[in-house]
Amino acid sequence: MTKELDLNNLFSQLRDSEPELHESVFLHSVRSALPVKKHRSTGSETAITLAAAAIGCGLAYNYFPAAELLSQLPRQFTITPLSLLSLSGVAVALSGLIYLSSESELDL
Amino acid sequence: MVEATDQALIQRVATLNCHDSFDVLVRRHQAALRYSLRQMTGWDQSLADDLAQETFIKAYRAIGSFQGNAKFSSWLYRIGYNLLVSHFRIARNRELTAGDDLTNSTAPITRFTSNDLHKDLAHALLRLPAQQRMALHLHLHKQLTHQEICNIMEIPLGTVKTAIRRGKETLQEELSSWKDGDML
Repeated sequence: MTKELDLNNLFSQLRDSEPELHESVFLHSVRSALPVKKHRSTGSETAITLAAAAIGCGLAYNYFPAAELLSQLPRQFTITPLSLLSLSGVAVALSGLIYLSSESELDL
Repeated sequence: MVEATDQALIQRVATLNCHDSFDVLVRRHQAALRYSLRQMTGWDQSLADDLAQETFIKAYRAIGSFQGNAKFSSWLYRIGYNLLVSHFRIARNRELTAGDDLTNSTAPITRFTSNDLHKDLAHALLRLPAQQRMALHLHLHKQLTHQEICNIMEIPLGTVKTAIRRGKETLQEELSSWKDGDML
């Protein structure tokens, strides 16, 4: 009588000795067969940008409350010692920032 | 370094068409899928690799439809199995048209070499119908549950159980020529 094979043992041996399948060639073949991403031409990109800019300008013209904001601007300026001091303070701070940023860009 | 999960990579592929993320998925799953397809095709390496490649390409195209309810590997197996069945159906029709003998060879299975158990078993499995072959491989080799196999193969639970039982019986008969103590 033929002895029954122990299938669980057989498949366990298979699992333990599963060969390593190298990926590089296979990966390359899959990659080359993938659908290529569509790249837009420069012309169509420019057209899209211009159309978006035109839409943006149209929306801003219609909905941006420019007149309201302009009307809120002060019509008269009075120069006081305090405002002069504040202005000079802002100017000094800005100069300092510009100097520091230029120094860091030069990497001295 | 923390590796990105399959789900995160799938998200990137689906939304950005990111080929690099898909590369990672291919690297992660290719070995198991290619091995299984070799077992399913009688260790026909080029056919198995062609089917595996087609599986990944199909997966890439349909990745947006991947729900994430099942594991990505299970989804790949489902695609691979459908391609395999379709391949054998086309081959069978071609043989029918050519008038070739369709029945599987009845010659006894002999072991090729002592250290090529994988090939020998793949040849033995080829005698089984594709459904039994796949069910048996997923159950005994991949150690998946009946329910997981049922989801992959998209067949009822009862059919899975029957396929496994019949597959085991047929495989026992087919391998009966293997000598006792040969390697088992």
